Amino acid sequence: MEYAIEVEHLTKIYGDLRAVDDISFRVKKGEVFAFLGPNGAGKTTTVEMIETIRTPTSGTIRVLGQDINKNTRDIKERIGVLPQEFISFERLTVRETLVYFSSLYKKRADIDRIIDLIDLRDKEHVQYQALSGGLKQRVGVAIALVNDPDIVFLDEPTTGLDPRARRDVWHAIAGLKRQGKTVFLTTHYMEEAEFLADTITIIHRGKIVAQGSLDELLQQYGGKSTLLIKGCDTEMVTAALSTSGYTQIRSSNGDVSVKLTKKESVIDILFHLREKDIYYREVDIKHSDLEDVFLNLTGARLREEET
Amino acid sequence: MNPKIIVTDFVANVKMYLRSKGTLFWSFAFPVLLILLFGAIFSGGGGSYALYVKNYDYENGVFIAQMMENNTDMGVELGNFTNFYDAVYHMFNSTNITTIRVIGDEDAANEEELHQYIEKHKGKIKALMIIPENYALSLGLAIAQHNASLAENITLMLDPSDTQGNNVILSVVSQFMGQSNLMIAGGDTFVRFNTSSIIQERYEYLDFFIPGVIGLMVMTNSIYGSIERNTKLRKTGILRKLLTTPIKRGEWILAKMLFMLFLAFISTFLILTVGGVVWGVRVHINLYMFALIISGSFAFSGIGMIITRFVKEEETAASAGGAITFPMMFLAGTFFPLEMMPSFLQTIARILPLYYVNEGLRDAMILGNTSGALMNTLIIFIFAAIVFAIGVVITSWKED
Repeated sequence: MEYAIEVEHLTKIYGDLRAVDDISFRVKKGEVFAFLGPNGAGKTTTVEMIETIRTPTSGTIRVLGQDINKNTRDIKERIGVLPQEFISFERLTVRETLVYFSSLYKKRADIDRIIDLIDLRDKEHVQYQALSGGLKQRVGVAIALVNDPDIVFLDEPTTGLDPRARRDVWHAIAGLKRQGKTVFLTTHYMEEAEFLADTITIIHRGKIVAQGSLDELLQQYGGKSTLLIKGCDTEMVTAALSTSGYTQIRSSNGDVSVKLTKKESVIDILFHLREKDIYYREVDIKHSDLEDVFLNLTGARLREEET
Repeated sequence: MNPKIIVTDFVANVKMYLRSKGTLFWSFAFPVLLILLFGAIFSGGGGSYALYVKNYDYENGVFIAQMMENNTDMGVELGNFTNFYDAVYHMFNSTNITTIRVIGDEDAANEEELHQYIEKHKGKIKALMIIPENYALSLGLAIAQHNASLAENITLMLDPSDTQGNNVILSVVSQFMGQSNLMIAGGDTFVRFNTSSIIQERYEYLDFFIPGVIGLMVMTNSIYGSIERNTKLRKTGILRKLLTTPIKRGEWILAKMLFMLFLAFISTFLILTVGGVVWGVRVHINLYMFALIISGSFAFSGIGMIITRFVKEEETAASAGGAITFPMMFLAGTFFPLEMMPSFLQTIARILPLYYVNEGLRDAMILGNTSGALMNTLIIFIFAAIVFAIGVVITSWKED
């Protein structure tokens, strides 16, 4: 197996803070690799060290088989980067912007193809400053493609976007994978990683806490599914289930949630409730997601005050 | 070095500049405004003091003028004027300090009407000169016989409330009188009714000022320009983006300098055009002028880069730029000659780069002082080389 990126024992220290703490990982060629973690986990620091913007305190980074300290210019020709919170030249049109960045490289992709790929055709002659947030980010992705790179780095490409604009950017990124590009994506949105990534690496406080495909992570760290019994007398439900041997019960505000130990538990629980003639409005099964994975691994929550 | 990258960046900068209507407007309006404003202030005209004149002797002026023309030994040359009094009025007007307002016979034909006229225009007439009948004749006699007492007296009436105006009028009138008296006593041509020398005076300041404005624009464009691009592009992430591309820092800085020079020469062209068209200032355009503008641009861009190395926020950096450009603007002899300042400030001025740019531009463009121009060009060239090199070395794109 050939790797696009190989990182070994990478560490970055700022004063007393170990922003990145001895991490090692590999990114396979052609995959979408998501670096998932809350703000301040060390995602951007790591990706910027790989992009040669920051200098590591220690550790080695190989990009496309080459040490980044030795063949920096060569590597720069072969990677495309969308930096975090990137704002391009406000008074250049989309096409002019792409031509500008394209001229910095020896190898140049066909700009018309990029415009079509990222679906920017009708905005081609619009100045960057007049674009919406989602379009700006898509232009950012397009800029990252002007040199037909082998690896595309996208640092928090959808932060601050509304759900629809986020979807549009996701589709643009999914298009890159179909082009055979390796995509290194950093994000703190679990849906983004779920939607796009082949491999998800979870980073927390500068350390990697888990790595694998979505299924692997859910299976290994996701915990059990939960049955939600909504609109019921919580005391009665709790009492009934406790006597039936269920232990992981939480209740709040007219709802009760029970961890399901096995598939058949659902029928078992509903049977108990009917037997005791307990009223409930509805039931719902909630499968575990990356949020649960993260919670189980770190005891902290991934998302902040947003839903 | 990849010339294509440099050209692309330069072209992109020009495009963005032309599209930024605000920047475009002010980068044109600022120098034009300065020149129009300072030109107007120092060309006199509107701001002068009105000196009202009641002349009972005006008709005799023609005869006196002829007499003076025919008797060249009187030492008075009237130039093109056929009336002696017109020549006198013109002389007062061309000081640019006083403006003659003649009270005609239709307004006041005698002393009584004159009093009524003054009463009617109370507050407006602050200075009034009354020339008695046969004054010119008496003056001619006095000159011919070298006897001042033969001349009639001119009456000067002043509004005591306007002390400043009085002082100005008094000094102009007495200077005129004094010169006339000297002329009568010595018989030499002290007063020529010829305007050229006086007109020249009013342009001396603009001759001084125009190279100063060019120096000022080179300084502000370069310092603020480099501050803006370093702080703003750092904030927008464009510097971070460029760091991930193969562009070399040297290529990028060179491209930006090319754009700075483009702006500097546009400003210069604009300043010279407005100065020439509106105020008739003529300058020498030569190699020193170009060398000074180019060296100055590099020097001030270097200063800008050094500032942004230490001050990273956009607003703070702009203030720091102001703290450097403002004192320099006033101390380095942009608006007024260094000789007007106390000697310790003159010493300070001599350590300011703008001083050498200004002096060099004056030497090159106005005075035609080649050795001075060369000296100042050399000084600013060496300074630019050092400061710009420091700026390039300490400007870091990399994040910590």
